[in-house]
Amino acid sequence: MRGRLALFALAALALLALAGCGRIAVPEGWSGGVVDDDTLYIGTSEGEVRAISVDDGSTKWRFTLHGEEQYRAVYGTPVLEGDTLYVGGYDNVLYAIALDGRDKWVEPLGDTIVGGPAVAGGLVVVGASDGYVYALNAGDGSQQWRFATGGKVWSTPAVSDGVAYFGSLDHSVYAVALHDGSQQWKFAASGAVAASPVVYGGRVYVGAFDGSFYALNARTGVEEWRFEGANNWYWARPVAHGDVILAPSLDGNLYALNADTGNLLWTVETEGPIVGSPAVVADSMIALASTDGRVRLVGMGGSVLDVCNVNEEIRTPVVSQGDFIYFGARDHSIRALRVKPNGNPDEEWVHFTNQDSPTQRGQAAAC
Amino acid sequence: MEIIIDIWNSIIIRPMINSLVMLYYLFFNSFGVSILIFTILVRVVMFPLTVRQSRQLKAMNAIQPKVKEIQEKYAKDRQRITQETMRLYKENGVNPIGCLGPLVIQVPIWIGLYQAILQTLPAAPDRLIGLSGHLYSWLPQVHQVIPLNSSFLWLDLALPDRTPVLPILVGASMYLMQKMTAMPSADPRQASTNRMMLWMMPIMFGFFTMQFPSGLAIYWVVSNVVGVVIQGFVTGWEPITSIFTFIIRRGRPQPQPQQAAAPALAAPAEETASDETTDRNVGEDTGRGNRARSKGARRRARRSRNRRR
Repeated sequence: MRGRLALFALAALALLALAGCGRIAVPEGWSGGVVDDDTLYIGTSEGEVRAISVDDGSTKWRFTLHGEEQYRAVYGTPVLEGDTLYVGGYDNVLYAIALDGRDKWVEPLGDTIVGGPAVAGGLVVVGASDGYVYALNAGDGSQQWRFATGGKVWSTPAVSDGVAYFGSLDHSVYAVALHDGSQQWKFAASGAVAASPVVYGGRVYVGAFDGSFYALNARTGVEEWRFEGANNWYWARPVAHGDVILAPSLDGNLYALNADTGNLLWTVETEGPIVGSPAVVADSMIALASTDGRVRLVGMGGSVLDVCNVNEEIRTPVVSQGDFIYFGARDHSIRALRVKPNGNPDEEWVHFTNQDSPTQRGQAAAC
Repeated sequence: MEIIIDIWNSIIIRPMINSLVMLYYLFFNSFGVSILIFTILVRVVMFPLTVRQSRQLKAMNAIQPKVKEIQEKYAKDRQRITQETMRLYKENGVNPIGCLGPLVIQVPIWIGLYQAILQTLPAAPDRLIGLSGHLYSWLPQVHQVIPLNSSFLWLDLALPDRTPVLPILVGASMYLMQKMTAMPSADPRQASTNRMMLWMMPIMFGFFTMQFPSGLAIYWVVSNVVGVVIQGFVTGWEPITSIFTFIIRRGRPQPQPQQAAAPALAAPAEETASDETTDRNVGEDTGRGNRARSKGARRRARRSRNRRR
């Protein structure tokens, strides 16, 4: 009987421990950055948007999201249009921030915002977890229309020729007219679509949770080809360059596909899921970051030129400007690497968003 | 530590997540139904162990009079009591800790299911990315149905039930389960512990239900109900019927003083039944049953017994 009592006590303790830990995970976000002249604008895992000097990594200003603390996170990449930065917050709010760090307007939406906004034709288009895609006036935030899907919209819309393209977790890709939100076409995939599409050469390229990567006719939505070589989901936005589509997958591979046929050209293998999009650097190589903690510089033929081991999970997209690349890692760091023409990266600065002196560091450069 | 987590994930979490998602795919795209079927499957797998436990319990019940005899015979020698009791257990093929098997197995299932539910029904994108790493790549169906719908009846299975319904169901089913599997004991101290457990466990799990995802609470309810049914078929329904008998008896109108002779005559039979129940550590119910009778009726019953002696 003592054994039984002890076992119950053990079970109770285990359950209490479980109740205390891991029940609510605070969303961290994995915002990409946008660079304008000498400033990098990026969301942080502290629930802020920061303007960081690209010269030395110093903070220019910080903007704290308005929502409850446990929902302050930015997953989508901010968009800079004119003198306004548009940011979708996981706290359900779409922010229009002036370039001095003050808000111009804020507009609460129906649920959490995971994808980033797209700005075109005087409208800000953004999806939310309530299943709607909202179009707001870019000047004052007033709602112009909203479009209902059957699932959460975590994909960042891609706008081209007056049409917004986006995926939904209801397993569909939608094309919606920008001026009035009317549906142009809908494509049924075999899995949820959280990835953001890219429109290139008259096609919409997007991957889904069924492990398929689709090329759809942008005008009709008809499937032109699909690539089924991945054995996990697609999460990141693909990158188009020349006649190549770069499709990163959560199976840890970057697939380079022929844009017209979908044929596999080459693959770069990493040791962790690829959550963020790669970036083309100086038109001559690709910077690919993975959750295995490494940034790989890959030649246009698929050969790995060099690697920078940050040793921390990287889930943000990589953004490039000139020969510099910027990204965030899970140790609350935002990093700037300068990439030499031979692909050799040098870490220029690291900005720790959880420290009072963000650029002060007590460790050697990662590369 | 990383190796332990890998082993835990490979043996418990991944199979559990993939089973739950596959059941979701097969049965109406309902995660509630998926948990129901999963629970029944777990119970089916554990059936031989549960039956063994039930038989052990039955055997323990059968030898309780002999244990009592030993305790009376060697009242002043505790060591001898232990030796003789162990010998008796051995002779009858009873293992006093044999009843713990299913419970020991259930603890990792609870913890695993808790983690599996949280990871299978993620609210935030971070957790959804984590789920992708747990799904088997050779099972395309499980990838196709993600994200799962977490609604079931009035519940969001990823969150605790906001109504008192599920905590009450968990508490009640846990009480019945405890009642059915209460270990017999002739030792008054152990009997007291058992009585405490009978109430403590349902209250504790009722409280947990208010903190944990309702999907886990559904597992508890279904698992308890199936456990009670198995136990009932193997060892009999007496512990539960005694509750209903008690409730029905309490529900009857109290006899008038001039009609009290009849219940008084029935008292010995009632007490025989209550002795049996005491062996199953539910003596407090029967005690309350006796207290429920009027003072006069009890006095008359005592006199009647004394006269017969």
